[in-house]
Amino acid sequence: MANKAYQRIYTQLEAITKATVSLKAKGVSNDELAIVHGRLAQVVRTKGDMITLQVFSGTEGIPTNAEITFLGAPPTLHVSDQLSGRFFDAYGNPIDGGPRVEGEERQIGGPSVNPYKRRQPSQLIPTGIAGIDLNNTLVSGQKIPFFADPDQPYNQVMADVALRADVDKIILGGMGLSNDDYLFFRHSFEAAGALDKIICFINTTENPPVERLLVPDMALTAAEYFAVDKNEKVLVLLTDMTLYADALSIVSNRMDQIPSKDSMPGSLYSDLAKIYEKAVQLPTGGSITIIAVTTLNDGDITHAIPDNTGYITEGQLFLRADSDSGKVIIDPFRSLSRLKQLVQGKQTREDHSQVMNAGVRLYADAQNAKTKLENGFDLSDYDHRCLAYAKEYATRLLSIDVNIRIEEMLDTAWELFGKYFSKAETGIKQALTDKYWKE
Amino acid sequence: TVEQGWVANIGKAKNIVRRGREDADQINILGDDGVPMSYHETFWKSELIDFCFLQQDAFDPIDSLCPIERQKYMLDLVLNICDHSFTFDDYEKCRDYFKDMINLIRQMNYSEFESEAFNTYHTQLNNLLEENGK
Repeated sequence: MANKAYQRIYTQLEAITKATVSLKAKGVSNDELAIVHGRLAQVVRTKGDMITLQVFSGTEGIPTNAEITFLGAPPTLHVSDQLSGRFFDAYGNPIDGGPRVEGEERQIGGPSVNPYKRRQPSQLIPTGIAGIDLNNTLVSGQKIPFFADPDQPYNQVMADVALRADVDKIILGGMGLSNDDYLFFRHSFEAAGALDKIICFINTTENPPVERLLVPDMALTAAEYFAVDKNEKVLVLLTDMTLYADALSIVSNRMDQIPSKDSMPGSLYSDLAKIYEKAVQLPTGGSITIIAVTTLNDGDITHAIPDNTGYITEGQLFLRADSDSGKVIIDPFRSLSRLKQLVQGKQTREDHSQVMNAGVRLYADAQNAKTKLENGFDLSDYDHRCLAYAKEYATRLLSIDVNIRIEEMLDTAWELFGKYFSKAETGIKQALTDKYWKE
Repeated sequence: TVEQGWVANIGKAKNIVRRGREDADQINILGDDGVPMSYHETFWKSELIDFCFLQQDAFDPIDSLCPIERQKYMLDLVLNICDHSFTFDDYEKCRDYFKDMINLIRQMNYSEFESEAFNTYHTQLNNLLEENGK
């Protein structure tokens, strides 16, 4: 980034903190990029003449007479078909050894799609995982996070979902990825022969954390190019949004903003919403579906990050290890897809909703039976059947390592109902039990 | 207004649900065999109100929309059952009996109001009631 002719160079900083620097300058716009002592930085606050910049790689070693030049524009991405199959860092620079992408230069982080131009989502996204397809069916244009503790295999599940989805592009935004995770994604996509569908913006644990703040906007600018300009179905994967929020709080705290709950910035809701609201179903057929990961601290969903995320997104998929079956499952009691009713029974078989409902209710009865067992009481015959049902339900349906079509999920559920319960005990509409009940 | 005494009926239903929850807590503490049969009966009556009146399936075209006349009809029906007293040999029989009743009323909820299917289920329900209830 060479300096232009007659470029103003500032040489006096007013303040330096661990992540930010401040100086007096005129004619500077919000979000504008700058170079501070050779390092890339971005304007995060302007108050009269006082400008505060977040320095992406940190401020260690920056002197008070450092040279600062403003680049005159916010971060941009060059968009074109050349993006396909490429790997980039958080600034859009190639990290796969290939050439720079040529194309129209677009500012990242713009507004989301005009609500009037949106269509209601209506296209099913089958994943093969019953915990999702049966109980929390996804549709294209949806925004939904995986909630999981850090020790759960969420990246693996996300990669599976991405490769099984019928989409034109998969855009991965990695924030704080370990090198192992990065290589895992790369190999999974290669092995599936899907590399030409993939675009990755990667910030690893070896990169500075504040850089992560650029990743979702980069990924979504690319997504919008393909969805809007090319009418393509785009799936955006963002992992891990908790680390993104952590970066937000680093910068906000260094700017001496008064921290809100859990030391997060008070603007956390808006910051997250700006990203998630880019999910859209366009009338011309293109779509952007956002599946994110929000890791939890010991399953605590009341922490500011998952709490705010849950208000914005159209549900959540809660991954946890189930000790009774020994499998990692999508927990039916803490997961939800708020758009599932748009496709269940309409793009899937007529019995879908009833079967989903009965299956989860009987699984809940099994949890009650488990409590009785733990309290040391004798179990009734119904309790024993519930517990046996729950184990099979978790193993054959809730587990993430199951990969079957939706119809097979429904037939499996009917098989379990017939094996462990009477028709009256399931309480399902008779027209459906007449048709689908298996003895 | 729906009818005289509608509010009183609601209060009655609420109280049954409340007592059912209290009895459920006692059953959890003392075990199924550690409480009198009346506790199970009260608990299952509250389950009846919950499953048959309070719950509605949004994905079922008939159950999702319940006009006020049907609401009154169903509440009267459910409270009428709760006014009966029953005798059971053991709590498992109590549970199975109420599950059968709950299932019949759910099938009624899925059927068009006062259609043939609706009335058939209603008759079956009345037969079941006559077997045990007073």
